[in-house]
Amino acid sequence: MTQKKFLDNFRDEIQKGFVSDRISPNNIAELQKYKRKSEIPSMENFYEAIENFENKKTFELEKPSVGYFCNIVPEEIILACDLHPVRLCCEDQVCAQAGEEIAPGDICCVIKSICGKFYGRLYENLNLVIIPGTCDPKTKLAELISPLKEIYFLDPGRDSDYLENAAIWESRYTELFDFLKKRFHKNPGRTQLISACHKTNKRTEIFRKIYQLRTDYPDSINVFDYYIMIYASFFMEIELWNDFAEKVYSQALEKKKTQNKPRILLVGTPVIFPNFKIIDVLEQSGLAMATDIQCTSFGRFFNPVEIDEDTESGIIRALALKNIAGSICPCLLNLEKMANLIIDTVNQYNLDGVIYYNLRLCQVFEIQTAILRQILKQRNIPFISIKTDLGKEDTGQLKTRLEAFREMLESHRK
Amino acid sequence: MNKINIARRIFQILSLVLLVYGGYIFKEWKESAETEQSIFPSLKAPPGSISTTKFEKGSILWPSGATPVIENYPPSLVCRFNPKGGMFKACILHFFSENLTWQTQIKYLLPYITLFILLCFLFGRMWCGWVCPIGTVGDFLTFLRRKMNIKVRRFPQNFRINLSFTGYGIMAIALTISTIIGMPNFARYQCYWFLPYCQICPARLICPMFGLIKPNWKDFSTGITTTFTILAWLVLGLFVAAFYFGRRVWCHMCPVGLINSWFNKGAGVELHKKAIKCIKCGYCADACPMGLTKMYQMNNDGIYNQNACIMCFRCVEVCPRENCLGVKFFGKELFRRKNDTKKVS
Ligand code: SF4
Ligand code: SF4
Ligand code: SF4
Ligand code: SF4
Ligand code: SF4
Repeated sequence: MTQKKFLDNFRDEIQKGFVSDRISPNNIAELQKYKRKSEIPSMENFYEAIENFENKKTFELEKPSVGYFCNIVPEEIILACDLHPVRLCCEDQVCAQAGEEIAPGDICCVIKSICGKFYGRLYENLNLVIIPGTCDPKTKLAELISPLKEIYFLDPGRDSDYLENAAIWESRYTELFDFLKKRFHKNPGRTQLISACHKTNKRTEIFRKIYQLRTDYPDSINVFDYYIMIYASFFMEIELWNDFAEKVYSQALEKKKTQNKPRILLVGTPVIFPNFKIIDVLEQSGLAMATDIQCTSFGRFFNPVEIDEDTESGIIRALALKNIAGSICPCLLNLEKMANLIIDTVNQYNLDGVIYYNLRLCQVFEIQTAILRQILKQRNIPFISIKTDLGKEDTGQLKTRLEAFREMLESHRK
Repeated sequence: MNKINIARRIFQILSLVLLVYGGYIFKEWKESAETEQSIFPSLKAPPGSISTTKFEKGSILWPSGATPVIENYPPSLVCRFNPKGGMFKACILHFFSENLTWQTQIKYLLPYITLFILLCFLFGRMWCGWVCPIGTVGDFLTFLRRKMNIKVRRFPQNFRINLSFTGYGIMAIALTISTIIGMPNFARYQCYWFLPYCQICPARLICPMFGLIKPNWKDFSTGITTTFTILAWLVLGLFVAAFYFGRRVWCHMCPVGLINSWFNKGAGVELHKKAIKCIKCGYCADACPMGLTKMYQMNNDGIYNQNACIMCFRCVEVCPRENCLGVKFFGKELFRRKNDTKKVS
């Protein structure tokens, strides 16, 4: 898929037709709330980074920055071209309301938020946006925001079988790499690719330590801090993130304390700041999120790039395997893997139950709920599915449900 | 970094040094020990028949005749043409070829065959992945390609299966020829057709060079030797191309590897998978130098030894899931993939 100019002749009409005022989501108060709960001094770094980012409401970076969505867009390739990758996945209610105008009706709030951010002119400084064809709304998103931004559409297909598709993925990634080189007049080779992989592998190394620690002692890094770290990684320089995270880990090690709350595996839609409703409720109802299977955290960080062939094409292939074949994205054909992963994680870390969280109107997450429920029921793994949106109205109701779930888990334990 | 891979490379190089230069390293020791009784009968050509010592400089089977340190045949391409005879006598194909021609009685062969089978049963094709000097030379070619940033060629499954049929074909022809020239009526052909596989084997050309000895590149004296010379070039070309452009493609058709592969299933070394751990990332299949896919495809727990597997354990090493793949030796766990937080490739 090379770069295409969608709706090029209608650019003016579209731009005139929709809001062009800056919208101003204000999440600082929210951020402070979570910051107060934090017990780890060096989490400060992450809160500060997010605060700066939210205040500026835009990117002012030394390097050209490239926005992207989804794990299947290879961050390492962007890094290798000496560009700054910015993950744009967004769940913000103010933005979603603004985005209602561009993507009205029964569309998931992620897409609405993103549209709101683009049409609210918050992403002016991005040089390019890479949009993957993972789900239908995302595919159309490429067209919706193309009057405002240069778009690169990346579609590696939805079959995650390695044997049949590795060659296709490799060629899609190579096209992207070639495009970035040309577009930004860079000439990276495999040394740059390898060093980019080293950076993300370093991140994996730190993440695995944190992941391991949290599965044993969920309170060592509280769940808000955990997702704040994840959110900060969307836009921070990766090396800086690695340094900060390493510090957080070493301070968290001292905070190990056993607790008796039921330990939960949170599966499904990614939890992205400021939409912390689910973890808020989880916390309030006395459950401990011990670990997650979500694309922005586990899915993105857990697997290292495993370079076997250290040629340029070999590295690109390794990236494809990490990002697509090993992906847990529900948009791809990989339900069996998802089921295996959930069962295995629960067994390995001795977790008490699974919460399947999904944002209203996301079909790909929702459609597999019943099957997963059935599979886990057969294995006696407590399972609850939660469907909600960005609004806070249903908080009370969610809390009641999760409290009931907790009681069930506690009796299950005995 | 990848510990298993590093260990394997070191082991390969040490084996190469030992097997190829064993003649230089241990010869004195051997010469003093020669008088002692060996448990193995010495296999010598019966009077009147052709033997490796009879080949003069200039003929294809030269250099030859040097005695190795140990008169035995390990399950690898350990070549008779190693400088100063090398560590072991030769490869198993050489053993079968010469004894078919000499019509040696089975009872003399049994100790050798038993030892060979025992070694195969213990380690399967680990001999190919960890020991064989020719495999090591090939891996070095692969290493060169990688350093030159040339894309690896991946061959489809069918192609690789056909390669092994080719290997079996060549082996069958070589052994048939060896049998025929052993018959009294055909004995006069022995000078041309003796050890037919050695005549085209790339190891015959590569191994002498380790001792800075010029191998016999060509013999155009008769039609038959010309044919063998050209065939040897072709096979060497195939060997180099297979290792340079692909990975262990050659090892799909190497006759010694093929014999070895019969023992892979049921060998002492076992590769295991725990299917629920697998996230189908394909790392294992992609890294397999033999291009095998069973460990990726398997959806149930159990052993995934495959005939063509050279037991390099690369699949176990690259798997990102803790405890997913592992290696056992007679049921005892050697190692499993650890959720190694230190691991950065
Ligand atoms: S995967 Fe679901 S939540 Fe994400 S953009 Fe697509 S429809 Fe929306
Ligand atoms: S030339 Fe080949 S077949 Fe002959 S002994 Fe050497 S390795 Fe074996
Ligand atoms: S198959 Fe390869 S490694 Fe095994 S004996 Fe033959 S050349 Fe050596
Ligand atoms: S299956 Fe595994 S051990 Fe066997 S050759 Fe392939 S990578 Fe090596
Ligand atoms: S590397 Fe491991 S997790 Fe990945 S496909 Fe192979 S066995 Fe499965």
